[in-house]
Amino acid sequence: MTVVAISKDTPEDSRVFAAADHLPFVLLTDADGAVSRTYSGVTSDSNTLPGIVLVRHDGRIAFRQVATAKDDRMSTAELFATIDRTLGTHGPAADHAGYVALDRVQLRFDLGGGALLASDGPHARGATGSRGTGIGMLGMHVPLARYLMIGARADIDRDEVLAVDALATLRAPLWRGAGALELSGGPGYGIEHGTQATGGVGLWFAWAPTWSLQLSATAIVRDPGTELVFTLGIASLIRAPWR
Amino acid sequence: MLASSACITTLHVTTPGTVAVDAAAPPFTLPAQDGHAIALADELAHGPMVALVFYRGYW
Repeated sequence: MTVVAISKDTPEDSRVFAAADHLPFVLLTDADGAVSRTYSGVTSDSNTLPGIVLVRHDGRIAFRQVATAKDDRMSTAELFATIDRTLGTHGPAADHAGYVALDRVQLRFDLGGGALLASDGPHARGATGSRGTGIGMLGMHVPLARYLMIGARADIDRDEVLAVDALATLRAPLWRGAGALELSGGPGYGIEHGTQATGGVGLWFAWAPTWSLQLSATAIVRDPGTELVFTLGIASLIRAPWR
Repeated sequence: MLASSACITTLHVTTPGTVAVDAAAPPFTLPAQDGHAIALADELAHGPMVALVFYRGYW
């Protein structure tokens, strides 16, 4: 296992750096940025984009991770685990590249409001026709794959004390995996109104590997009428212990 | 709003890298701090794997 560090630093600067920090590996000078451009990428200020690329003995790329955010660096433990898997003894070969946020469990908190479109069912409280409503949601979503998450969510709104929904979310990754367009839905059960169904579309954006924002439009279909709500939420992104 | 906010914490990437997992690593030769030229192929001959660490430089 050989480590090679590459930047646009001159050999003179690299010599100072290596001597000052007693670096045991070689520092290469990519003066015109050609190698950086190919392997990791280049930022708008013409600097090398921080990244790690593992090349197998046969000359094929085994793993590639590029930092797209300032705190999106692999920990040493993550890197060693990846090297371990790539060298072939523990677990599946590491094959994912890019942003880790998409792989993380999401603990979401959303707030919003909207309208109860029709309230003429048997449980309607007086007035019929549409009126405003507010909603709060707390959910946990677990990614099963890049394009699919499953989860559970508790909703509290003006017309239901507490409802719990099971959710499947299909997502189309955007912005190199730092965001996604989502389509979700599933059955639920409310304390006041019994069974319900929810469906929605949303835009999810990982601000950092540890937290995200999401904007959603959700329809909740239940006995007194259909509720249409728009929510803005924040999520904590948690590394799944099994990944 | 979401798109513009991305610039606050993310590095502004103008040229993303082009290599992909499972593709052949493009060969290169670059000067090391001691002045010697080092080729990727030479490093690959030494061991089971080479880790290329790209960084923004010493400052």
